[in-house]
Amino acid sequence: MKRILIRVVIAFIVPPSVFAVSAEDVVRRLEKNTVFETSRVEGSMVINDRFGRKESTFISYGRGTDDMLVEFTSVEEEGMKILRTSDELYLFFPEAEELIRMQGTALKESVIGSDMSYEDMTGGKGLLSSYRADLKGMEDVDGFSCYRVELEAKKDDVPYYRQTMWIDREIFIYRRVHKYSRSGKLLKIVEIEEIREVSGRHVPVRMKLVDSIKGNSSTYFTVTDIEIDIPLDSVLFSLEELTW
Amino acid sequence: MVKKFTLIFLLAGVCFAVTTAAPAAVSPTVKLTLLNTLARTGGEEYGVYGLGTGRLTLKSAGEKNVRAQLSLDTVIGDEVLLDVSRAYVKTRFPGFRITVGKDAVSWGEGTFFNAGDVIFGPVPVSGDLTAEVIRDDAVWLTSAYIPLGTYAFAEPVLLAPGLDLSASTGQGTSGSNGSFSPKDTAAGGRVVTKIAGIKTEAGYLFREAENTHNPYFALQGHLLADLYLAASVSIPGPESGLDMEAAFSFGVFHLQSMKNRPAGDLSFRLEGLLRPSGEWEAVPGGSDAYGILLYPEAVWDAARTLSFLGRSVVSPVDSSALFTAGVNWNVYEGLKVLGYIFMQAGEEEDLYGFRKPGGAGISAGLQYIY
Repeated sequence: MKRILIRVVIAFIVPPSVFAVSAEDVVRRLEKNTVFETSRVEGSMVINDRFGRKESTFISYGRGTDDMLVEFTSVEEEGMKILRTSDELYLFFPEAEELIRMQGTALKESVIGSDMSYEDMTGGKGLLSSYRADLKGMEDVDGFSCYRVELEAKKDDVPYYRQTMWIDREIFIYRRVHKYSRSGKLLKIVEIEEIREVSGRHVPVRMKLVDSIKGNSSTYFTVTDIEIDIPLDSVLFSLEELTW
Repeated sequence: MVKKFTLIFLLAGVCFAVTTAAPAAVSPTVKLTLLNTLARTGGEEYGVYGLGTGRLTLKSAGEKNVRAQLSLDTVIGDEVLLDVSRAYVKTRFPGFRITVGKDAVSWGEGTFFNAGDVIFGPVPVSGDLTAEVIRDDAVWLTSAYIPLGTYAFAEPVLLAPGLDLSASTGQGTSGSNGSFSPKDTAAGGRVVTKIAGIKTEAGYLFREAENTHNPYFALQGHLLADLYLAASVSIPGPESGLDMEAAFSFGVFHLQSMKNRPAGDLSFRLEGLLRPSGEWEAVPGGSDAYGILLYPEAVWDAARTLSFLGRSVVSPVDSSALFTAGVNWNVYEGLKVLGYIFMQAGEEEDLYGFRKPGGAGISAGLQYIY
């Protein structure tokens, strides 16, 4: 009771400026932490629903906020690749030598049956260029003190109109994200279950993604190996590499 | 001219493939699809049969600049058929790469109908509506890939027919002596780029056997729905005795995420093929050269590992259609439970007829990739 009283008093008498950081600062520090100049990641994706369980593995290469090339290495999807650049998303299916440009509603398709859509892979231009950020206070997530930041879309070309992020106050990595539609419906939930320190940076290495509309399903992403800020050939992020 | 081009291309391909050969690891994959089918055998009779297909794929691994694949396809019924569906080596150099061997080529735009596919034709060769990839045809080729920027490339190609081996195996039926003719060769190329936000492709193929010039273009963009279209024309050369033929295909795709029960993604696709010089009146037995054909498709991804699909090929000229409804349950990584119901609607003389062999049936089985 005493603790609650103290919190209420603090909420009323302490101005928001005491948070010492703005929402934009928090988001900038988050992006500084989670966006790498270059990276190479090996990982797996485990998809669970009430009908079955499926595990796929992949290697991905990233450059800044915009560029990413993902190649699936699991037997069922072997060789399938996804290329994301600042304004394009392409798929390549090696068996049919088929190159597909993803756009429009096709971006809502699930990535190999996971809770992640192709749309989730777009919008790498940086959160602050697409969203207005508002710091709503601090809350604990799984015992970690976090800033609660509300993001509201500035324009329509983003997959989620509103997002709530709980960003760790110590290491500036989000611990949980809720993504909403314009009507306020909760669409996706992201939860970080494990964070590892790599080359002096904190990197989420196990993440759970739930599509709250579909329910009864979840996708776990696990990073098994990661290298950051390594030399990468720029040709990696072109159709030339995608179709190789 | 074509002969000289052919010779240079072949020599270049062989030289590059040989000089870049390097030891590499092998990554094997097997895909087995085993189905039991109850189907109409004609008239009122039904029969049950088991049919399996298998693909053994051996891919090279570990060499950064060379890739190779050998895929052996088998059809297992009361006899066994074998085919080599892929056998190629790809190698890359600064500024370009080449492919020599038997490989898939995907020109134009379209899941089922594709007027831009001047290599295999606008109607898929197998037309199997239960297939995961409907257009899965490969051809013996020597091709180059020349990047022209992040989203653009050029791809010249030479299509030489495989050598007729029936004489040497003693299985020739047409008096073949294993000879070959440069007249069976085709050559051309395509350029793929992005113009004003639209994926744009233009290409050309010369078929010496028919003496036809086959230019085409294909576009893919978005306007309210995802749209794509392709057009090609077959222009006969002098003294070929053929008429000019044009083909147009279009496709519309839309995906709707359902946010209430039943949840899931529901996608619709409609493709059409128009051939002004095709058959516009019904012909006995039907013809896949009808002037207009349609392909509607609906897929409901009910859960992450469970989807239902409905596909159809509709022939408005003789008012017949082929329908397939299926379920695809991805139980574990690589394992799928498959089930299909198929039915042809139409008279016996139509392109699709209920009383034709295979006019109706049901298939169920398993697919495993390992």
